[in-house]
Amino acid sequence: MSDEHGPEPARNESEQSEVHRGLSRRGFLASAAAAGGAYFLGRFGPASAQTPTISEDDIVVPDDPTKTLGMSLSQRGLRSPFVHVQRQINDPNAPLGAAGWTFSPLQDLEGTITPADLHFERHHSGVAMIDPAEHRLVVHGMVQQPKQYTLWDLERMPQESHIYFVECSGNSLAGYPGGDADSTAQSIHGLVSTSEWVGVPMRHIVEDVGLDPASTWALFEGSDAAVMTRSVPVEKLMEDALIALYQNGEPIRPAQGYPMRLILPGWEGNMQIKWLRRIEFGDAPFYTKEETRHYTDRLPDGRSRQFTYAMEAKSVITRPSPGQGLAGAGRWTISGIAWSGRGRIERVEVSTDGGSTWEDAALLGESRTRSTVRFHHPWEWDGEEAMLMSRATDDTGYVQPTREALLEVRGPDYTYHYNGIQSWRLHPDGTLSNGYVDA
Amino acid sequence: MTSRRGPLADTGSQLVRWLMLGGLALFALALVACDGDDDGDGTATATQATASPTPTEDGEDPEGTPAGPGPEAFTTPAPGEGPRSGGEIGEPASEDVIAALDIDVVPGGAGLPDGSGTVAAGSDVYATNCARCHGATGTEGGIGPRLVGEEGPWEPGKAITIGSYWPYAETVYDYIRRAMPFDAPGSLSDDEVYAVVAWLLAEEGIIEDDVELNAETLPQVRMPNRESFFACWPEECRPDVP
Ligand code: HEC
Repeated sequence: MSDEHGPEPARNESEQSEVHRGLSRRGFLASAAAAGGAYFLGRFGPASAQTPTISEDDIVVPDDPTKTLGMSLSQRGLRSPFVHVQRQINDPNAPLGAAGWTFSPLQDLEGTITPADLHFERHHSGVAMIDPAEHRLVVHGMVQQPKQYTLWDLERMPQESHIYFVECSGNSLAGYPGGDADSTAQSIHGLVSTSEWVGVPMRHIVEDVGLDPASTWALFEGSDAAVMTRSVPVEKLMEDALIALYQNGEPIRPAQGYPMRLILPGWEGNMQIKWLRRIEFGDAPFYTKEETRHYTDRLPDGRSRQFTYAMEAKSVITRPSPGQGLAGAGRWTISGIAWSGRGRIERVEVSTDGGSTWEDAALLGESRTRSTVRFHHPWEWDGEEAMLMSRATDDTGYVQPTREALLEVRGPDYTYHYNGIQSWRLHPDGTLSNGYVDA
Repeated sequence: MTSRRGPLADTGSQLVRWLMLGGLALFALALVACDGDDDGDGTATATQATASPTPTEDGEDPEGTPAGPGPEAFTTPAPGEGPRSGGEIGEPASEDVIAALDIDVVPGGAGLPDGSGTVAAGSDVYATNCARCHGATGTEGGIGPRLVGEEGPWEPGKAITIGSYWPYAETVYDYIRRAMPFDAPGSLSDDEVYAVVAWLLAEEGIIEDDVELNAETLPQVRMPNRESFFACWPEECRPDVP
């Protein structure tokens, strides 16, 4: 990850110590018997011959990779032992471990696609494990012909491919009550991920069952232990909803709803029911727990907004951000992501002086509707304290608001849909912290 | 794992079946055959073991396992595999199939099952099934959230409980029946759910202690925070920040 604009960000000491140099962990044990050393282990050693799937324990880092045969072919790939990327678990109902969330490591990722195993998680009753042969999607209610579909039925229907983000509506909520000095891009904003989703547009299902034109809402229900339910307006289903079967080229993983999940581009993640088993069409919302007790927005006057769906435009600088650091003054690239649930990101601006002046950042690659776009901004750091911010504008003309403006309107009890500008305070020693906490 | 044999697997020749379902295995065998280094069983065994399953000489599956890609492979079937392939897409859902899944209970009471429950019975249901996570009286919380002990309607600063925030008693019934107890969802009878809902509502002072909840009485319950919600669809409430 060398950076043409300057030295590498400071690295965590512990990263190096876990890497096995010369011998793998498994190889070390084997070598006592084989007396062959590292040379044999990758290609001929007992570990790789018996287990074509290579594990982290097999990894060997030779002093000179041009003088040692590399590791063997394998059925599934591994990350480099020098790359440490993992989700951060938040288990509010510990020790249950099944109702909570994991944050995606935003500061360690580049581009826009989130590797499927690093996609954020938000489960209410754990990850359902489903045998597709036993699974049916049942569609009924205000339809001419109630039907049930297997995974293989859906495979035979016309499909589409789209790159969309999914964001938990509670993402970034740390911004409401005031930040935490230890918080990072991951622990504040890591409940957003972007994938290529391939699946059947809902409008094909709607046609297949013959929807009653008087139907305006549908209940979507998951086959997990929460039997999660949300009501979705038919209007959205006809516009761009997908029953997704594939994520980033492979069948959706269990944590994301295998064998099938709902994708509602740009809308809050909770509605995008995973492990989908049932769709019931009706003419009113179903007022499930997740659209009454939760996922409603409490206002200062005591009232609560209900059915607030779109995730509005947001951006965050992921590099540099807290936990990383700049090794010294000089040229750096400020990198981040921006997204909007209402359309396409048109513009991202970056400020390094706490919002006094702004400059346009470069958007990398195509900016797609209801997807993330990567921005980069080259910057010369003078070594003084700086306040780094980014601000997104989408193609509806909406500009990401400041935190102050957001709190002014929404007050202290609003929990969801936070999209205020994030600021990172860069200290003269090169470390960073949340800009909303007094230095 | 349940077998998902297609019609071909039941009737067709083993060769066709190999080609369609055992492609991985054949590919792996071909590799082994081309590999001059192969020292006998080692490599081949390892490869076969993972490119499952390889038909035996007489054409039978080892251990009668269904042919097809292993659990780690893509689950997309080869053309022709899968239930009812080639015909209609999907099939009519019978009333029984729908009834088995259609458990939602909505405001107005549609979907409420037969049966009933009293506050007194609910006290026992709660103590046995809920207290260990939500606290002895439901006001404490613990592993799970606090459930009761605050009057509605909700206003800023107030704790969120069933009484202070939830707009519909039907939703309380629906949710507990589908998702609680957290570690044994669906284990309560419909009567037990009526009873524990009655107990929770009585604890909140929303119903009297002698009320019996059933499909008629539950929809008559007025929740204190009901009027505080307003819909932001189809008329949207945001953007709200200038
Ligand atoms: C093993 C622990 C456990 C048991 C036992 C349990 N619950 Fe829960 N309950 C939870 C957890 C955890 C949640 C939060 C789930 C989530 O985040 O979606 C919860 C949520 C709830 C909620 C929603 C509360 C809110 O404000 O969001 C209600 C109501 C509830 N439980 C009722 C019950 C009842 C009634 C019983 C007994 C029949 C019960 N629970 C048994 C753990 C438990």
